[in-house]
Amino acid sequence: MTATKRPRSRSKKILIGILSLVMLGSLLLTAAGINGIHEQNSSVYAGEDIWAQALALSGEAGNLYRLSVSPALQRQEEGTRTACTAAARKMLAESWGQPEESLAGFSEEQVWKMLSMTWSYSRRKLSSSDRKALDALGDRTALQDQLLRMIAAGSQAAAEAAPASAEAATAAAETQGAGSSVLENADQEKRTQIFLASGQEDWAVLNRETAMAFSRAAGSDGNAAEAIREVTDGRISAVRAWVIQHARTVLLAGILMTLDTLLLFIFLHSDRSWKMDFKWILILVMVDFLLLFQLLPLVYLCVKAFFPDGSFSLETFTRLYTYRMNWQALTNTLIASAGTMALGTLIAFPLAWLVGRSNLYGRKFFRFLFVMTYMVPPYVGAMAWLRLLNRNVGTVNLALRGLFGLQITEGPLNIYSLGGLIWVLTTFYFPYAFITISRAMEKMDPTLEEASRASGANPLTTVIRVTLPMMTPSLIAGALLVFICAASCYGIPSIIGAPGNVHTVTTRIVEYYGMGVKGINDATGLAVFLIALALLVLFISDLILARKQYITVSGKSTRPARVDLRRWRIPLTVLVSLFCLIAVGIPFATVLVTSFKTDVGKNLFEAGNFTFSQWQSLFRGETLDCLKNSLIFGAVTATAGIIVSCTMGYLTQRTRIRGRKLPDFLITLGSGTPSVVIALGLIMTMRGQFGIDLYYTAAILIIAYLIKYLMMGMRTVSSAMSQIHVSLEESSQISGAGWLKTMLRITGPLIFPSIAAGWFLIFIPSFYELSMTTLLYSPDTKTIGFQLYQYWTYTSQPQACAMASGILLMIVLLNFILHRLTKGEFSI
Amino acid sequence: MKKMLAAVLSLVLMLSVFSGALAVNEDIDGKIVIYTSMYQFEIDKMTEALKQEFPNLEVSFFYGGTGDLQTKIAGEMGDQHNGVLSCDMLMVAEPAYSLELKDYGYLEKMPVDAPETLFREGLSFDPEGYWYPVRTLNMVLAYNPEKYKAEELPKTYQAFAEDAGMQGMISMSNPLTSGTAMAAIVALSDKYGYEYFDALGKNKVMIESGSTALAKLQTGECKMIMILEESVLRIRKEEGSKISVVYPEDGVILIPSTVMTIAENKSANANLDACEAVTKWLLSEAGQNHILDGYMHSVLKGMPCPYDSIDTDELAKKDMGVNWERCYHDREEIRTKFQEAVTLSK
Repeated sequence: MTATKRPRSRSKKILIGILSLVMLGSLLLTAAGINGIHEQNSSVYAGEDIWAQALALSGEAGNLYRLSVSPALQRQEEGTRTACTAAARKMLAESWGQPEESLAGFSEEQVWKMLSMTWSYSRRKLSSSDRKALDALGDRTALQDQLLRMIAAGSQAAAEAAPASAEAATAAAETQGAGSSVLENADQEKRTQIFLASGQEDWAVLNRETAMAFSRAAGSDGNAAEAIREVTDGRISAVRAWVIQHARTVLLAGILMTLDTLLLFIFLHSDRSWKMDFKWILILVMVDFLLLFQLLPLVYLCVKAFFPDGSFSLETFTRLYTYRMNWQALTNTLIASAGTMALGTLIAFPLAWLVGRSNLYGRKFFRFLFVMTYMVPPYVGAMAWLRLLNRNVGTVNLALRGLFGLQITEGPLNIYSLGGLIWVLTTFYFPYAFITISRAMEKMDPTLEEASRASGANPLTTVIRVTLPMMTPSLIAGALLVFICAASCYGIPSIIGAPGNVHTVTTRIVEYYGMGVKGINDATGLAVFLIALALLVLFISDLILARKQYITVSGKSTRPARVDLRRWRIPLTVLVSLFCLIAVGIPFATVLVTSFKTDVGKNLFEAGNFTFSQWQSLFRGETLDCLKNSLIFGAVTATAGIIVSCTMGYLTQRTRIRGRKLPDFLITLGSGTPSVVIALGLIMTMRGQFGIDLYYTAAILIIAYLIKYLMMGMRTVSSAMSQIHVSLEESSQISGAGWLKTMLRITGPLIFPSIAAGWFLIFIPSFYELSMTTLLYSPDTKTIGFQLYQYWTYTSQPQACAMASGILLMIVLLNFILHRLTKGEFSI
Repeated sequence: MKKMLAAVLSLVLMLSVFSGALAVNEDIDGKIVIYTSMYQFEIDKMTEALKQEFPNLEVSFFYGGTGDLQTKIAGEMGDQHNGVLSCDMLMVAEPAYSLELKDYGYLEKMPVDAPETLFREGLSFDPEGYWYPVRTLNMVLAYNPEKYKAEELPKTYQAFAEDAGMQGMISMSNPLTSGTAMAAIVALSDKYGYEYFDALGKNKVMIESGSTALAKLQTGECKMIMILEESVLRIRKEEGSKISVVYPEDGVILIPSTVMTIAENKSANANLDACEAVTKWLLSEAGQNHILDGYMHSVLKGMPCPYDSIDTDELAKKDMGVNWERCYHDREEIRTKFQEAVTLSK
């Protein structure tokens, strides 16, 4: 007993010792970061890298002096040399706007170094024609000597208040050709600049990039002069410069390390074994990532909303939330989301049951069609419905007027309304509920339904009394997913809602975002509403998940018996076909037909209106670049996401390790957070304010996609893993296989279709994402989804339709290939 | 033999002249990024032209509506207005914004020879050389003669907003995100007061982008739209469309769009040589021909008008004029008034 207790006690002591040391280091890092930030804040300089840049520039100025300026001065007579340095001192004082006497204490070397540093950023580089002419002179040593003589002559002339010295003109005349005219026309300052620049191959006084970086960090010419003076005095050390420059990164690293150490301590303490487990490192890595890129931006947005100018104020909130237009937007968002949720679930449940549990004709085809709407950008639907249901000349409205002989010029239906918005949102978001409910139905134990039927209940009674109650948690989970998707959608409300003055919170946020600095603050204030909404949904969802035991899940996958629809089989098949035709067929056909038109107002086959040119334009370089970006970003997001998903699937389904629910909670929170909020948070926190600058990079897009869509993959893989009974893995391990071999040979192949499905579920929405991309893209990271929206809005609607059809075809083809590669096992 | 020698000599001379012409801008190199509100098709054409003119210079355009670009720039400037921009030049819609950027010290002086004789009469430019007009945009009304007759439609901006027969069948761009739409409502509110916005709201004007509005003209969903002339001229020429421009009798709204160079220490690539060369090219006849190719009006004296338009000097006589100082200083108030009257659901 004591023999086993002693080693545990020793390992506990060692671990506590190590953790204490790490904690101490973390706290020290945090303190150093805080100190550095304090120094930054009390400094007058604009950039935290001021000293690093000043030291770099000073180093270059030192090299210039040693290799070029000093040797040239050494070659001159004492008088010339003194006059030149006096001239340099005078010009430096003028550049700094300070009296010459203030520079009296500086040596010749210091004066020339400071002058070269100052002019490296404050004077424009020599023009290309000047550089060409000076290059033509060839011998730079002779040129330097000549320039120094001219500068000395000019200096003496100025001292004697005489007109430009004849000596200077004579010196210029020594040079032949274009170079001589450059020197002749140059004033004293330009000659000195040429002299300094003659030490560099490219005729820049010092490296231009370093100089500009220094100038930016200084913030103003006065600050720059002060920084140059301090660096030349030797008052700034390289170590101090580094700490100040990286203060925010150091602080962030310190805080994360402190949190990690605390979490690890809590895990170890609650685990009581005091044995270090590698899985905790995995959990902490995921938690750190999510804390940094997901929670920090969200918290920052909330703080910024309540502390807009650094001090607590409810002014932004009061102004925003009492403004009638914003109230309308909030109300519209709630009504549209709730309406979409109700309608979407009402449609999704019977369809999921009919496709998954009945003997409906063409089940596979219907499933494919419903899931297909998940595969296209939602705003493509908006494009189609705009054509079909606009109040004046919408195709459906014209048909209804003709059919019923209505003598009206508007309606009877109007897409530019809240009802229209709910309808379009529903047709594109009901697949989210359909997929969630279908999955739960696949997991449901069919014996309960069979028992109900055996007890004499008819199929309808069984559905109402048995299936529906068992499905309630999934039904509500699916419904909430639709709700949050609808609430955070931007594309559809901007196309359908805006023309009819039906604004939503997302369109208002994007509108505010386009109104400068004050607009960004207002966008942040409105985003808080969506954050609160997401948290509420998450809370409700969590309550429902707590009732998860309501669903009966067998240890292995089930093949439920299909319910025979008997005489309802044909009518129901017709009804589902009709729904497919209305919700999927007609809109997609409209988009496809428009893609072959020149004039959208004319019939396709009217003379000169049919064209392939819209499709040809898809092969333009810019479009292909966008496509390439989308494929890369989507693939990287999906691959990173599926790795995390598999890890999380394993941790939650195969281990009881402490802390496994923490990343799960954060991932779920990220998925529930509206896209616009994620993007806004990332913009406001990942531009260097916290030591990480991802603005304008592909990384910021990939991180945003990952936060939003990771849960789709995680749930798919976790669900699949929960269906693989652990006895299979145990058998493998009893037979001598190690953990890795078991995973690769047993679990991996069994859940591979779900891994592929999970990858695809992350890839597709990342591929065509719009809401976040609109705010985060850069010239080099434009995506196909964004390009499509731009084409629709600013270029040409037929071209946008061609692009939408192209995307649809590509995704269907990709789905088909994956389906074949996985021998039919793959489906989403 | 003499003829042959003369022919060879002529050929050599021509080749040398030709190669000399090609090599003229070869020393301009590096990279520059231009933020612009020009349409994508105009950017495509200009990119190609710049590639030929400056073979060693990499020019990237970043497209966005003026509002989007202003937000992007505001974000890059930061709260203290000292951040570095991710661009080197700007070609955005309204001079009001040039005034603002100049005030913030974000612009670089660009020397241009004799600007006072270069530009058309009445065009504003910065006398210190911080910004120049580079293209003239023209806000007009447009309709589809294949769907509605011209004589039944408004001839003036006033009627566009007030004619009850147009209710629910008119459209314009969003002044919150489009610089030209903002300039237009500044001019119209100057001429007719804020009552003009009320009239637009009462007539249920739809707020949407140019492409969407044009499609609505084509389908007949809208009877008339307020749009930039260039969008109409382009589809007339390139797609053979019959959509027509109405130059309102109560005045056109000419909007000079400016070109600006970002101060070297605030710019992305600190490539002033290239910025200067590109500015000069843009303000040369060759550069302005590309402006005409983009269906916009040239800012230079003596240049023709774009395809199917009317003489620029004639248009200038009917110009309503935009008060750029008001557009700059009263921007928030004008936007709010517009939103209250037009965008807010009644």
